[in-house]
Amino acid sequence: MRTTTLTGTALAAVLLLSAACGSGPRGGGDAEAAAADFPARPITLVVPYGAGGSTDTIARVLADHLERSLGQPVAVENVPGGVGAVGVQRVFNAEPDGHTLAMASGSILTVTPQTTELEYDPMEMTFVASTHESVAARFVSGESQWQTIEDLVAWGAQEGNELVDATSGGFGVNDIGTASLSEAVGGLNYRPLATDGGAEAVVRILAGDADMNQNSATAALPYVESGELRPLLIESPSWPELAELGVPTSQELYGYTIINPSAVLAPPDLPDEIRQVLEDAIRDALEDEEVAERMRGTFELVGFRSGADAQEYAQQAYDSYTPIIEAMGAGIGE
Amino acid sequence: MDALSSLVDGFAVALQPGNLLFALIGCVLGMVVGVLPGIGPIAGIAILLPLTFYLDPTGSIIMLAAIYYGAMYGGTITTVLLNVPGEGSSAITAIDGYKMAQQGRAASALGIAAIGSFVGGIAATVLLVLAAPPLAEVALDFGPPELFALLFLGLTLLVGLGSRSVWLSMLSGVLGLAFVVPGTDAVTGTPRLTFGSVELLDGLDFVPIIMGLFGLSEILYRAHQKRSDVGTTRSASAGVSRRDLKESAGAIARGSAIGSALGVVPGIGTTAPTLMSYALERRISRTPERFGRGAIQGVAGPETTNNAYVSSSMIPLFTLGIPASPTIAILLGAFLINGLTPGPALFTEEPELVWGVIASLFVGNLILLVLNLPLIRVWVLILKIPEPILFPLIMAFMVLGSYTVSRSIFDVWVLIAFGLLGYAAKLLDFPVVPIALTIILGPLLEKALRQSLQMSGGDADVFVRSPIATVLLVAAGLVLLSPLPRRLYRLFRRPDHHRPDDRQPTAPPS
Repeated sequence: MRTTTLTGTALAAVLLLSAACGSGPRGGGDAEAAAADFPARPITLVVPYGAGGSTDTIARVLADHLERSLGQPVAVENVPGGVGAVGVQRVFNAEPDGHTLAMASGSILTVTPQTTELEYDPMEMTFVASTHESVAARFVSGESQWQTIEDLVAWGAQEGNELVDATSGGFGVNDIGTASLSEAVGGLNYRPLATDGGAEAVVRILAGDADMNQNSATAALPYVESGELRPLLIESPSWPELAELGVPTSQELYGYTIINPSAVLAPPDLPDEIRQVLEDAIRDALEDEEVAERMRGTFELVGFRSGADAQEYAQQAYDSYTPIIEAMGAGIGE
Repeated sequence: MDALSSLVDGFAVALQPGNLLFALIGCVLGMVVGVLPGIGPIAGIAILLPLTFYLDPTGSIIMLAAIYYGAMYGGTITTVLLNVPGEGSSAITAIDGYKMAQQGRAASALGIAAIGSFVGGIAATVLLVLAAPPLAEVALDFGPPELFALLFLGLTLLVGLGSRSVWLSMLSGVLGLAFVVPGTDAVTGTPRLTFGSVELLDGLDFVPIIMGLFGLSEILYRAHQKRSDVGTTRSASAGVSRRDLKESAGAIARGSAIGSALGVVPGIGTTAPTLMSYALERRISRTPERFGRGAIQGVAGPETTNNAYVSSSMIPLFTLGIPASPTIAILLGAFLINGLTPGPALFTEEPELVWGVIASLFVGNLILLVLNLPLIRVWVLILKIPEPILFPLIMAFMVLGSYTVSRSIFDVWVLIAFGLLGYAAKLLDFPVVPIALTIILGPLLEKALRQSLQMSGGDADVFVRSPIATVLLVAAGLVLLSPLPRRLYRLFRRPDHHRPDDRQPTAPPS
């Protein structure tokens, strides 16, 4: 009997203790105290896409480093759905204590909130930092008749011609790119061919089913090296590998640019002390040359941005897309 | 003979102790991933991707590839024993595999699946060694119009599956199509019948649907049956008999051919080829009535097909750098992270790696066979667990698996809803197999059709301009019309009788 009681008491004590630890930072309310013992428990980094993409890979590399520097496990959790909307919503609704984060990239920050009715605004979330941005360029087949962007534009502008543009399906950044190009040159004749994304778009171009497309480095760069894809126009602010090949940018030729930022997001109203701890840890991770090298394996443009910079950059992209989305009639309520 | 001497060098790489170990680890992990519903080879490979930073590229790619084909077999185990398809690629196996298990032939179903997987994997790898470059060219010719025609042919083969009435089957198939309409329109990007739900933006996930329709409904039905005290045979007999082998030989050969051929077609995925194999087996069988009642060909064909598909899908990856399926796309990522660029140059730049990985496909498929034949005896012990304990366990397993798909309780509700639907269908003797099939083929078919029409600017002649598509569509027409002469004959000779009800789920062993 005695042992049972003892065990029982010990068990109760352990339970109480663990409950106290678990609720410490959450129920405390005192942000400074919370920041002092942050992180108090394992951190979840939500990737709002299926496993295996470049954002997912970068998140896993980052988590691997954060685990060591923060001294708590960092679990990458894939919550796909709604082109990122479902996973980011999960984090939006989580406790703002720094233990639940999202690695968001591209459309969910800059396009989806403008084209799809969401129950929340991703831009209201706490921007912790940014690890990378996606680069984009316009490609044609290596065997095509168009050697330069001017060739392509001249052909596409002619009456009776129509370019087939391999898109990523739905409405995304690449649709905005083609629309911007068309507007800048005074009208292109083109029609979309919806694909599952960058990899399939490459196949459609190689097979001759599509004429052109705007693609990311992850999907396209290997084919540039083999000569099967010909890059004609860099549409993101920069893409060093293609710039070396003498590919012009859309900014210099046509005055538009496609920004595809990423951001590590936390729920709104994350105490700034905690945000700072996380931002510093992410900066340290990216200063580790080995970590940066692995992230560059995805061919994304890897580089640290502070939370404030990341938010400003995303807002800049968001605003620059608004007139095009409205002109295309793709905005909410149209 | 150049390829053969390179292959010998490849074996030297694949048989190094370290690489052998990687293949073994990959096979085991793949089986685990296959057994667990909700975690497929895609997630399995992606989660292990960071590991490749610390390993040498050849070893890691050997391991990741082994996860893929290991998962194809792992999915079979729960499908046959518990009627819980862990992967889409094993779903069709549930129809006859689970029936075989109920008839006490679980060991023989698992055995033939292991043997078929081995043969299929090896056959497709031989093809990869001998004919990769010409096949890769075919892959590029196979665009959306050809894919549409192929899927359409597949659908016609499936009509009449699992039911005494063609009309009931077609009704069920159309119902299945209705379930894949909600989601985000792939072309316009607008939400379609999502009723404002964020969860529905990506449509209904296939895994909880299939687990509900097949697994949960069966448990509900069995629980209900218990009251009327219908006993079933639950002992697990010996393994594969000579007769099993003889009966399955044709199905395994055809499965190898289908899997190898469709592996080079980009965008078809792992599941659709298994459906086509099943449909073909049923069509050409002299005893089609045995399908759905434990026909071993219904296990041997699809299970051979999915492993052949995996090896064959390496062909476009190696030769063109084109990922034929989402899983292969992640494998492509593993190449890129390690600074390797798949494509024709890879054969000359990294011959050790390419041929090492190809040789490992032979070695890994053998490992899988050697590992699994003795393990079958262990697996079938699951059937010895009393039902009052086993059924709740399976249900917990299914709920967990549905939740894992996108970590959302929504998918658990989908599982329960489709479980009830499947249960009702069983009571009413309404066929559910066509629902499952059109749920898989429907989205592929829609995408191929719309892409074809986008390519042609709306002209339907895009299907006639392609010789491959035309041939496939004519074949589909012939399949659709083939029962007509016999029906007309019967109509005029004697009044049509309904065939006796052959959907007793607990038919005694024949």
